[in-house]
Order: sequence, then C-alpha cells, then structure tokens
Amino acid sequence: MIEGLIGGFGDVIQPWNLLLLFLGTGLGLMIGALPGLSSPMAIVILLPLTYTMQPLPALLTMIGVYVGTKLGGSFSAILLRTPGTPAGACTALDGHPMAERGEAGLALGYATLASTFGGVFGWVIAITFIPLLATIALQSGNADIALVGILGLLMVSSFVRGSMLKGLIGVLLGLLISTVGLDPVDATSRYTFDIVDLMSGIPFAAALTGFFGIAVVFSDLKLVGQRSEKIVAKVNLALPSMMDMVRRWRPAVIGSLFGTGIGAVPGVGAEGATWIAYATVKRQSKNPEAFGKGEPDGIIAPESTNNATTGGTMVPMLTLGIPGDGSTAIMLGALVLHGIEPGVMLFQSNSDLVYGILAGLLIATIFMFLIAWRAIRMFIFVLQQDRSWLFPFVLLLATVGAFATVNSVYAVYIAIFFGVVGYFLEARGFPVVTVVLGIILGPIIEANLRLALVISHNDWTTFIDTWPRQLIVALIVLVLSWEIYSGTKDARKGRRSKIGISD
Amino acid sequence: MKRTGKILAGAIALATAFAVQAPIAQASIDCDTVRMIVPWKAGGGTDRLGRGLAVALEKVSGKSVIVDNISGASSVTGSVKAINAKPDGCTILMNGSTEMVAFMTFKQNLPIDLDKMKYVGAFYNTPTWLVSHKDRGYSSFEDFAAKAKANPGTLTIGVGGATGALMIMASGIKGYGDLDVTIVPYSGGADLKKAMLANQVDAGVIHSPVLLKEVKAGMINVLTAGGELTNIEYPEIRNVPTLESLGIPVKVAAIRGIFVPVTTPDEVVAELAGWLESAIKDPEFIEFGKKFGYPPVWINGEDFRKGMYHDKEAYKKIYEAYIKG
Repeated sequence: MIEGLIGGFGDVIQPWNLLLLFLGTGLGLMIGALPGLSSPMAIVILLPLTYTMQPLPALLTMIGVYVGTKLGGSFSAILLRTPGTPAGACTALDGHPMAERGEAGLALGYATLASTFGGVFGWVIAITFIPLLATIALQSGNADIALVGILGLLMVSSFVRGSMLKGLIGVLLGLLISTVGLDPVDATSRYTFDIVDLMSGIPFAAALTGFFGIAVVFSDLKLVGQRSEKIVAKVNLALPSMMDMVRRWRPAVIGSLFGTGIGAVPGVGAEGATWIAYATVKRQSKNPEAFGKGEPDGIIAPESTNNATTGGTMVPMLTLGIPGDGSTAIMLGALVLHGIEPGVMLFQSNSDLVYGILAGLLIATIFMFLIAWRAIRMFIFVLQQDRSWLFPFVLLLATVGAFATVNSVYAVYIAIFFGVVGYFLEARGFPVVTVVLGIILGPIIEANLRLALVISHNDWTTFIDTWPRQLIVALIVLVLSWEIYSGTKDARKGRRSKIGISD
Repeated sequence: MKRTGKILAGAIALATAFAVQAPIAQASIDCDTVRMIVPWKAGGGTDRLGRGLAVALEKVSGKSVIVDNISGASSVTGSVKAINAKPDGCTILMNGSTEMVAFMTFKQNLPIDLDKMKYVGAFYNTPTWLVSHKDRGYSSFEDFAAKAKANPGTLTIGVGGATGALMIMASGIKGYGDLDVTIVPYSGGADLKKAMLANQVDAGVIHSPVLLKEVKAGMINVLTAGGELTNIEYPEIRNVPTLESLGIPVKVAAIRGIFVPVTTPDEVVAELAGWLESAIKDPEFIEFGKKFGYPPVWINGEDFRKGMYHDKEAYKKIYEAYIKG
C-alpha cells in the first residue's frame, strides 16, 4: 500500500502530469464558479482531448477538474448567492450574509481552508480505511440508504426560518416535485401529462439552477443601480488566519467524516451530504441562532464535506468499478476508452494507475488551495461591481447550465419555472432550501425504500434487521422526539419555534 | 501586376486541388461535423461504445464526429431529437435496439416508432445474461430453476430499470419458465451491478459483458444468456446455454446501431453505411471492442430493421402475458 502510493506520487510528479493536474484544477475552479456549469459537463468536454494521452495524465486532468469545481462552486455561492454547482448551494446560507457584511475575504478564505482540509482529511480517511469503506460502499443495502435519506430529511428543521409549518410545507412540496416521472418500480406515469420529457422526472440540477440562479436574480433586482455601495463601502480583504481555522476544527472534522462516508455510498452524492453536515454542525453548536446570518462554521461544514466526498467516491470507483456520482461515472467511461476495464480487479491489474489517481487527488487538493488562495482577491472584484451588469451574466450562465443538464431546451423551461416559483416562495418567507432538500432526497428515499421492501417481500422488519439500521432508526427516533419535545415546550411558553434561522 | 498573377496562380492551384479532391469526398453528406446523438447520460455503456465509435468514424469519414448526450425518458428524448433533425446525414442517432423497443412496449403513444426512422446499420451485439454471485451456489440455470421451484416466492432476480429490455428478459424467464420469483427493478445498471457484487439478489439480468471482469475472477457465475455468447472475449463461457436452447423462447440482445430520419435520401444512408462498415474494420476500433468484451460485428440496415420489428412482436407477447396488469 505505502510502496504503491509512493510509486503513485512518483508518477504524478512527472512535469507533464503535474502541469495537466494543475491546469485541470485551475479550470475546475473557474468552471465551478460559473453558475450552472458543473464538473461532469467539464469532464465530458475534456474527454476527447484526452484520447491521445496516456491513461494516467488523462485521468489526472479530470481529477483536477473534479476537485477544483467542488470549491469553485462555493465562490459564486458566497459572492452572488448563486452557487456554481449543486454541491455549493449550502455554502450560500452563511457565505453570502458574510459577504454582505463586507467580510467576503473571510468567507472565501474559510471556504478555501475548509475545502482544503476536507480534501486532505477525506483523502487520509479514504486511504486508511479503503477496505472498510469498500465494504460500506458494497454492503450498504437499499434499506440503509433509505434510512439515511429519511434522517437527512429530518434535518430539514435546521433550515426552517421562523415557522416550522412553512418548512414542512416546503419539504413536502419538494417531495411532491420529486414524484414527477415514471414510478421507479411499477413504471406508472405520474404527473407526466403525456409529455415525454417529464417521464424521467424533473432534472434536479435544472430545478436548482432555477431556485438559486434565476430566483436570486429576481429577488435581488431591487439592488440594481445601487452599485452594491453597502458592500463596497466596508469590503474587507482580510483573510482568516490558520489559527482561526484550527479553532474551528469541529465543523471541519464533522464535515470531512460525513463527506467521505456519504461519498463512498454510491447514489447519495455530495449534494445531499453538505446539507446533512450543515444541519449536524448547527445542532451541536452553542449558538445555533448565528447560523444563516454569516457564521463561519456554516461555511466550513459544507465546504469540508463537499471536498471530502472526492476521497469517498474514489473508493467504489476504484475498488468496485461503480460510480459514486456523475463525474466518477464519466471517469470510469474514460478508463474504458483507454482500454482499461474498471471493476473489482482494478487494484490488482492496474495498481500503478490506481495509486497514481489517488496521489493525484491529494496533489490536486493542494493545487486547489494554492490557486484559490491567490485568486480570492480577484474574485472579490466581482462583488464590487454593479449588479446591473452582473445579473445578465448570471441569467445567461443559469440558462446555459440548465440546458446542459440534459442538453435540451426543456430543462431551461424547468429552470425558469422554478425560478419564478422560488421567487414567490422566498418572498412569502418559505425557506427554499427545504424544497431543494425534498427534491434531492425524495427520489433517493422512494426508490430505495421500495426496493428494500421488494427484496424483503414486503417485510418492514428489514429496516431494523442489522445493527447499522437499528442505529440509524434510533437516531431518527431521537431527532424526532427532540423536535416534538422542544416544539411543544416552545409552544407552551407561547413563543415561536426557536429552531432554525429565525427572521 | 506580378503580384496579381501570383495570387491568380495560387487560386487556380487551390481550385485544382479541390477539384481533384471532390470526387474522392463524395459530396452527398455536406458538412464538416457529424453530430452523433447518444440518448443516454455520459459514462454509461452506450455512451462508452458511442465514443469509441466516434473516434473510428472520424478516421474513415475525414469529418469530425462529436458525441451529443441527450438523455431522458429511456432514450426517447434524444432519439426523437435525432430522427426529427434535418435529413442530411449530419445528425445521426446511435442507440441500442433493445432499449428503444422495450420502452415502446411499456409505453404507448410515444413520439417515436420503428417506422419513423431509417436504419443505417449496426456494429455491436451484446446479449443480455442471467448471472449470479458464486456464493449463491448456482452453477447453471437448472440449479436456479430447481431452487426456485422448491421455494416458490422467495428467490429474487434483479434488473436495471423497470421499463427496459432487462425487465422483459426477467419477466420472460419468470413466465415461460413458470418460476415464482420476485423481480427487483433497480434504478439502473450501476445499482444492479452493486447489488450483484454485494450478493443482495439471487440472480440478476444485465447486459453482457457487464461484470465480465468479475466472471473471469470467479466471483460471478453466468447461468444463461438471451443470445449466443460465441464472440465474447472469454472462451470459457462461450458455450453457456442460451435461454432458447433451454426451451424458454426469450431472445434479448442489445444491438447498437445508427439511425437517421426517415426522410433521409438513400445515397446519404448508403454513404453513412459505408463509413460504419469501414469503421468496424478499423484495427483500433476492433481492439477497443474486444477490450469492452466483444469484437464489433457488421449488421446491414435491412437486417437490423427486421430484427427490431421482430423484437417488438416478441417483447409485446411477453409484456401482454406476464407484465401487464
């Protein structure tokens, strides 16, 4: 293992490989920061360029993009409240309020440090526990994934602003939207109205572009012409010091653990993991009221999570040949194009390549830090511009991004539709994030819950028949009881629920 | 004056060069870039084959061939876009026969049908197969069937997708084989692959050569196949009995080919077919195919078309008898 890794680092340190990895990472940061453009798209576009390369440099270029986009996505989330990638959406909750307070430098700095920490720590965990994580990736049954999804959904209360009822309506709306399309088990058409495009459901990336791109532009239109004076006046270029980061180790560690663990389970993805980590950190915090108003921990948790997923997803990809997300699916395809068949034997048959990829992942994370740290001040420049010329860019990119989710104009209509819906929801005080959580987790919960029941021949005890399942069920019961208890206590005292980001 | 003369001479030389080249290029397909629509997400099996084919087509056609992934509705979204494109041979569709036909079997009134397109030809044939984790202890289909008969209602067969060809094949096995088994429709091939490796179902129906590496490693057993495995790059399993030879009249094999709009002129179709047939002979593409699991094979447009009509009837029979209601 250690010799293999040393060999891997030796391969990656070749000048040509390093250059490609560096360029890939820089490109990833940029693409990630552009709303709507995401890592799978960038990797697909790069694919033909890598045909003539050797397998390792080809994969290193893609790994660079993959790592870079994870951080890049949060830069636009912080500066514009429009996340560049779905996995960066959660960072907007605290990142943007900080930027509005004039602390964009701090917010971007925390994001960069947390992403780097998550990337490195996630890498270390992934490398150390490859056999364990490979077992989790393989043995996690449909019942386990369904339960994790339900636990994630309960975390919704952490995102509720003021009214719990509005939060629940939001999450149910999200779940309802996620039922559109062909039923995953019986293939019954649900809410498709004989429209073929609707058969595969609402493309959630397009819906997210609507909620976070278009809706944000609508609601911020009133800022046009103000030249963001309130921000420019007090913009602070100060970056966080390493000591600040060390003091905030808890959210970073929690985020990294969630990211690596959830990343290793195929089919959940970084999008869901960031929210779950954020909610957990907030729950444990001494002052949960600060979250949503620009609390650094609220940036650190999701950012360390989404970069830690890169280590997690490598485990099923390299040990089983199973993709953990869209980007790794394309990387697996790239391996095939290079004549390497991924699967359970990859570690044995192509160990040089596997260790090269793992080494490249760590070096890409370091490159990401070096590039991003230098680039922060350039990015802040964006914030100092008048919104009237920023908005057209955001709208243009959101449109392109929505289109690219399925390469079809239909997705643009979806994005516009949810842009309008998102605007009205937000204007009425419904927390849009709860809708998004429903859309992301709904299909995961539904498909896995139903498959678990099909496999167990409709025996519900399947959800408590192993100890990990019992543990998750216990956690679900615990969280639920706590919510009910604190909810009724607050109600008895005649005050509104203090859970969440009260407004 | 002298300069003008030079330019003129240059122009004449250029024109001559083009004139000489023109007959070789056969100008019926008049574009620099051919857009090959692959109606599945990037990274899946069809996409990987499509990208391999695109490289080979570029070589033989001299044009650049780009892969455009337009996914959705079990490949209908992208297919419709391709067969409604301008019929000039510059937009072509690459898709598998089974997935198109199976979805048409499950869902009526789709904006696509077998007579709404022309068939250029096919290049790759992958029969589906029934596989099982070695720890389940089935070494043949008979073992599996015997266990299923002895324990009605307890065995599971996983498939990738509730509306695909794999569902047709599993339902055919269940119906014609008179086996009381539960079919578990996973969301897609990757999920099913994981369930197979984790030994979470008794058996799984998946496209060969998916899991071939694991078959070679002795982790997964091949029980039977929906078509001949005689070409597979693993001689040890070439004589696995097909379902038909076991007395179950089910034949499901994904044949990847090229389709164009129905109004495409015949000479354009012929030129595309010429490219495809030469691409299949490209040594690098043959090597690519073999690494994938099978060498490419050439099936002409007419045979490809007939095969798909035949499949449609056969699938419909299975659907009406064993899936509907």
